[in-house]
Amino acid sequence: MTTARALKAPQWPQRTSDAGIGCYVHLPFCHRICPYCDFSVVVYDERRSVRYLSALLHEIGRMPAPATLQTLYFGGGTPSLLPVSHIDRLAAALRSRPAEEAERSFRDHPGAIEFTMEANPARDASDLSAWLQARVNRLSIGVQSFDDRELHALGRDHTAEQALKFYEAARAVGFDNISLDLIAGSPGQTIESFKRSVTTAVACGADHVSVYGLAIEDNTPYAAWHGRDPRAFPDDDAVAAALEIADDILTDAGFIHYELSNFARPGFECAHNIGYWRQRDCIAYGLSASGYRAGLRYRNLRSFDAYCNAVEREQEPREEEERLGFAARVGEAAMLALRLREGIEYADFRRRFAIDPERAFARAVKKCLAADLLEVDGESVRLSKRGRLLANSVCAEFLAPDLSS
Amino acid sequence: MTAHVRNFCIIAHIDHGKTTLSDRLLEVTNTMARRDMEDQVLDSMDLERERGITIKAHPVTLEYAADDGRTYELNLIDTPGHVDFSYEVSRSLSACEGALLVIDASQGIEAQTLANYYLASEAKLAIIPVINKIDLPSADPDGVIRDVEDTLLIEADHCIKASAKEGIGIREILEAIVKRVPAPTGSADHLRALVFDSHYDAYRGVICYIRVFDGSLRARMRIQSMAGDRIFEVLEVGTFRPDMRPNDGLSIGDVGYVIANVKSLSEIAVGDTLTDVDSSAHMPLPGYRKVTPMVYCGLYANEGSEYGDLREALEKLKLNDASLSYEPESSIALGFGFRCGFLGLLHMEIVQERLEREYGLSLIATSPSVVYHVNTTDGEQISIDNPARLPSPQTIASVEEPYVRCSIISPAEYIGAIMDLCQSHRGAMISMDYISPLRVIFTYEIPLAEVIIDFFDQLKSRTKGYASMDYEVIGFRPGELVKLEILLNGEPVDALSFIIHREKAAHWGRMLAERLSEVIPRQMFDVPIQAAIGNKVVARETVKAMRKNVLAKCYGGDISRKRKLLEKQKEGKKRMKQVGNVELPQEAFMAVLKLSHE
Repeated sequence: MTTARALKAPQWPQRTSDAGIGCYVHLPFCHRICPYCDFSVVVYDERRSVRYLSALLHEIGRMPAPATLQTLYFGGGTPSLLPVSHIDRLAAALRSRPAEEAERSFRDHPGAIEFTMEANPARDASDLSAWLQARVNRLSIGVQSFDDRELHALGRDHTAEQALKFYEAARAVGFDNISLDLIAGSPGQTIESFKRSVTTAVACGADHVSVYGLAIEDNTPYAAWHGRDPRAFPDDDAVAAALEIADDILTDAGFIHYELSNFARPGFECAHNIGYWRQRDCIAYGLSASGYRAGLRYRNLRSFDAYCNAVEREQEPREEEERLGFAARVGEAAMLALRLREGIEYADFRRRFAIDPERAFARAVKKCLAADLLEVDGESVRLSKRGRLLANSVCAEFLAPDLSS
Repeated sequence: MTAHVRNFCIIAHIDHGKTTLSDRLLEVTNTMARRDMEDQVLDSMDLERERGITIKAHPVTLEYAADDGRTYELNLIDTPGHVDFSYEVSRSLSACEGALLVIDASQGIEAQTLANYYLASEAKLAIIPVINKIDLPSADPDGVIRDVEDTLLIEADHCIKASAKEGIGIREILEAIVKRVPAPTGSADHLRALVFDSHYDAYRGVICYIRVFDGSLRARMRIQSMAGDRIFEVLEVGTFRPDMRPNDGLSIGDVGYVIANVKSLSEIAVGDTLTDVDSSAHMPLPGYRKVTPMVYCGLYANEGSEYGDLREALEKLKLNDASLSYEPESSIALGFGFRCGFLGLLHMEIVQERLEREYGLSLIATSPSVVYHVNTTDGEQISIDNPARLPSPQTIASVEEPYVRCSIISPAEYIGAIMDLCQSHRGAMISMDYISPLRVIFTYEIPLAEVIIDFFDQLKSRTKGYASMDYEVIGFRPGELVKLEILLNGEPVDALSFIIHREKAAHWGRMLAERLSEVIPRQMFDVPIQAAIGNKVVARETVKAMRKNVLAKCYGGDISRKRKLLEKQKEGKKRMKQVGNVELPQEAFMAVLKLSHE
């Protein structure tokens, strides 16, 4: 079965390039707000959703996706919550010329780009085929866990069984590229319960698994809980152990650990996200959406009303912008590249930045090698197994490259 | 000629109202209009104001129209109010003929009241007790006056009841200064002027605060510092009203300032005597002594590159602080820095704080130490101000440490608590007397090393803040002292070692190792912590290696935020000191200070 699907692997990463651009659309609606979440989300209601759709269409109209569009990602929030008609209209707006032209240029898979949508398994499965109609070809399902106790602690509005059913339904209507999200370190999680979630994800035949260590974000109910009772949460050592177990199980099952938090069967890597890690341009629409174009990182307004008001008044809905200097760009590129299995490929950095990466990062490499955090050969620097769990310490060293000549 | 001049100072236990009284005297004599006065005019340094203490003495001349119809020039010399600064107090006192001894009408006589009283008596000053804060409901001025009679042997009718805050008794105080403080006397020839303080001005160089005893001092005169043996030309002289105001000259009895193209304080030390080059005095004024710091610590810039900045900042501080000493030292653990000598713990804290605040330095300070006299087996005696330099045990015949005589005044109910505290700090009781039925004065002899590590805080907390203390160094005595070393990753860290009494060493070693294991953050590898006396390990702890430190997600919206987060983390790590391959926070170096709290 694995082989059969591998043959059908979409190979999106191979069909995208640094010259292309990704597109992210933020759809902030949720039925309820998870207590650990610090994204810009709002509780769904129809009036808001209509207002938001028209704001989005407006923003897209003002600044259309360019012809080099190569990936599309609807994230949230819960994009799957929106009426199918909204999804349709957004997809159509983004694929209207010149984007449509762009798609034609991907010759070996004509008429398509990688188009991911995040979906909540609490949703009934009736919209699935409509999404497929809208040419969504990759589904990322926010399962988080296959343990009902953990799901309850995470404040999720679905059970493990519902998640499995939703997954099977997606398969049934024809989705052939499905990713599942899992959280390591949720309150009450044990090594055993976490292991069960990972093996379940493997057993059900997911193409892609993201494993996220729970982050306690400021100003969330979880932050307050953690402040009151840190022992309710698995400690760093336990989470480290869990992440190592996930690595073992998934790698044994034939997944490639292609990015710190992401595993894929060969050919099912997410091209859109690889775009972030390769510091590719990405155009972003919607509330709090972040984009990167020509060395400029920007983020849209985070407040729902502020965003809608700005767009309705024909104003740029930006909250912040940061133009990266050359050194910052190189440092950031290294921070991102280190997340990838390939690491910092010297030839790639030479080509992208016309620098000597071995020299630029000599100090950082030396320091991290001494702590057994890196693997180095003449062509690249990659995180070691240990380095993958201590990536912050490594990345921090690479942020300030030595570019003196 | 000097009959209209009076030189006086105000001395008091901390918080008894010295500064408020100074302010009121300025106001009543119209030296400064009330609206121009900030609170506490004389304490101009921010830090002083924040801590409510006076570090430096600022003189000011008041013009007072007395009841006898004549106008007097009253030179007020403010004095520091903390035990650490007793030398500064003594210099100020020697510039005066009289002193107001301010005593809080509810608190009564405290340890520093006594200490200051003795200093003023030794300087043969006319002492005017001022019973302050009589407006407070809890005031018991008559009770305090009785204690003054009994303890200080001053007659009750010499005491003035006052409230500086309410302006009560101020006129009476001014009259007492005129009538009871003798006018200065001196000979008209052979200038002798005491430098009792100084101040460094970036544009004008050192501004010396002086009191003229003999002769006179004018602009363009050539003067000589008698102890420093240097010659200067006087550019400007003047008085403080309260700002510096130049005049034609200063003569016998006058208090003012002199600017003489002095580039650094080392050229004219505080306490030195200035004389006329062309007609020089035979003998300097008494009172000058080289300041000997009693407490030392190592100060290191957090980043090696700041070493030069630290040196420059110390140089500048030294300009305004004669009692600060520093010399370069290097530590295996911390690199290049300075061994700095202070008068006491407060002085040390103030200097550290000023270096960080005013000079923007990020510092590592090692835990404080006293000076030890080591008698070697060769019959030599060497002074050790840094525990790391203690010679190996085989070459030591004996070690002597400084002792202080410590006076503690406290309500009688805390007798037990105080005796416990002193005993646990190796103190020997010399005497215990009742000042009044409810108040006791203890005299203890205690090793200074025991006093500088949080003794004062402990005293305050065990007596709910009611006890006061003062101490003076009485000399060196032999003790059973050993060096306790701390090893990280098997390597001794010189900056963490300290000298301690043999009986306490093992216990402290265990406490310190445990404490360090709490303050040292997890690193990339296990960090074993050992405490050792000689070759014998007395305690061991381990900081386990960090296992996980990874950002879970890093997609479009996370990138900027995460980059900044990592940059900030990196910045935070810069504040740590790399010792071998272990990163140590500042707390590690001060860990020993916190031990006896536990």
